[in-house]
Amino acid sequence: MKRSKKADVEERQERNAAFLKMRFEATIYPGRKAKTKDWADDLDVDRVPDTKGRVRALITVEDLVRLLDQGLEVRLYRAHAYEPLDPALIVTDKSFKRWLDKQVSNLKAKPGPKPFLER
Amino acid sequence: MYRTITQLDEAIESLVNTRPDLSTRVTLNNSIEGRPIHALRLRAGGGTNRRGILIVGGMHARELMNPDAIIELAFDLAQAYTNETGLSYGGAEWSVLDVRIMMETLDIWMLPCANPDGRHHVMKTGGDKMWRMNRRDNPGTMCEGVDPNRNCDFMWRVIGPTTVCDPCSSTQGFVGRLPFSEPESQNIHLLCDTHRIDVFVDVHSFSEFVLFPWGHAPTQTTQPLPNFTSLLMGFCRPLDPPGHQEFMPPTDQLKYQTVAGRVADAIRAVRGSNYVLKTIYQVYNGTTTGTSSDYVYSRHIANPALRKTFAFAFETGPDLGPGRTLESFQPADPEPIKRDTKAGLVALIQQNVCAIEFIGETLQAGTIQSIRAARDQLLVPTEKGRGWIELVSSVQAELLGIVLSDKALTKRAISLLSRVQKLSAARGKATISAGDVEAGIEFLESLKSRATRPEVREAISIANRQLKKAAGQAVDAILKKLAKSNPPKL
Repeated sequence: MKRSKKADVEERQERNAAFLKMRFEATIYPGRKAKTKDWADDLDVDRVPDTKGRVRALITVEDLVRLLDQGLEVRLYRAHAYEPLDPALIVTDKSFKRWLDKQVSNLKAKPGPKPFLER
Repeated sequence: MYRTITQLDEAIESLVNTRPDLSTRVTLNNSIEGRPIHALRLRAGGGTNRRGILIVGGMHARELMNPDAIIELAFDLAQAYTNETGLSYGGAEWSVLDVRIMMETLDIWMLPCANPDGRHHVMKTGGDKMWRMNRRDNPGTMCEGVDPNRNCDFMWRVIGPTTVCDPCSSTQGFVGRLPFSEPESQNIHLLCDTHRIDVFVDVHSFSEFVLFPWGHAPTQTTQPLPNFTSLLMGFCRPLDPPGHQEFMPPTDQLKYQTVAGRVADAIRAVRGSNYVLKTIYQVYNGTTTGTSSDYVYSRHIANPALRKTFAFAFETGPDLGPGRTLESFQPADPEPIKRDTKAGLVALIQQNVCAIEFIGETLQAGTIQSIRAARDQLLVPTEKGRGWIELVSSVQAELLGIVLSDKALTKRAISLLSRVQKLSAARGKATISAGDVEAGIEFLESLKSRATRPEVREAISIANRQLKKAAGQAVDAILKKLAKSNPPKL
């Protein structure tokens, strides 16, 4: 069955919106236009630490275009969709209960030592 | 695997309900979205005005490992105390007595998840796993979020690579409308205002750093003025003057480096991770302001009536490099990193123990002011003198354990300390008698026969040698001599 034109447009709009919200892992370099040592102080990007001292950030497509317009060099490594944490990485209630029960039972086994200084 | 906010809250509630003798829950300001935010206090036994440590996690939403690690640490400490098992993470170990000393002489405060709304947003359907800030709806904009770790009242609105005034900036470092406008950051100063906090740590991820102030400028130790109190702030401008370097007394810097070094040693002992010591400024090689650590350490400078708190920040977990940033924030298996973090936190807790303060002020209900004054005036000013202080501090937790586990020894410690207080109070004139020396040596020998670690036994031998030379000498003269001589290496 042929899809309606409206459905196509909506799908394209959704895809574009998702694309604009994507984040890219990037390192940023001064390029030829940077004149000062503090070129990285006001990049307006989501910086993350880097143990090698590189200027590293999570950037959107808009950020990327802006940085390139400023004459900076950007190297992209990986793209991430705008989405929540993978549910497989969240502790299930069942497994949490098992963990908590074990913790609590370990705390009930003994009263503990007599404190050096009573309450 | 990461726990939800509901699970973290339930864990705190269960601990408090199961062991109210060891744990207390304190409800702080609710989050922006109305979630309750809880702090937890761990302590065993009695005594008032204990030294306190505050451990904060989850300030940045996407740094998921740390709230879990802090909750687990609370259970680990409570269980190790209750079951008298000691504590170990990989190769980092603490004895039964170490745990008792920590639990019975300190108030261990934990704020496991300072920003629950942010954590929820990272996990919920429609949420964003890369979200960093809280969930403030910024009026007049379509943009959400304030960075609670840029919202504290320290050099607020002085901008830098990760600190911005525009709520719609890509930086995820919006400073907020006012200093402490956010409940998530207010809770830090609320806890510091209402409880005795001697040591503070804000646990973040990632890159394996142990951090300390300053964040707004490079640190220097030679020129006390001008300091941050006279700098311009609040104008959304970079640091002014641009080359400013912030003063830290050399004694504080030494303490930061020593303590952070011991934290890194404990973490290394777990499985070999190599945490690096840095100032907050060095993380982004630029101005970072409004952070909780700088705020907490700066309080006593901004208001000299307040107690000094040594404030740290951890960046837990390795930097896996570009292309693996998400895994660095949220590894699929965070367990080894959590063990590193817990070991670092226990090392930090242990270093907050002060044997002399506990015996002299908590047990004896007296004051050790004259001892502190003698230390500050005669030992602190020289590097060698500070070396002697560090030598004592490196073994004192174990010594306190030995003293407290024997009632007769405790009595002798109290009586000796009382004599030391008197001698210190009259230290210009007072001389140490042959009887003082004899009593001191006898006490030290008793400690030595019970000490297990070789470095503790060695430290006692060093003290013994010094004491043998002390008869007939004035306290001042002895301390002045120590201040000029290198302490032996343990």
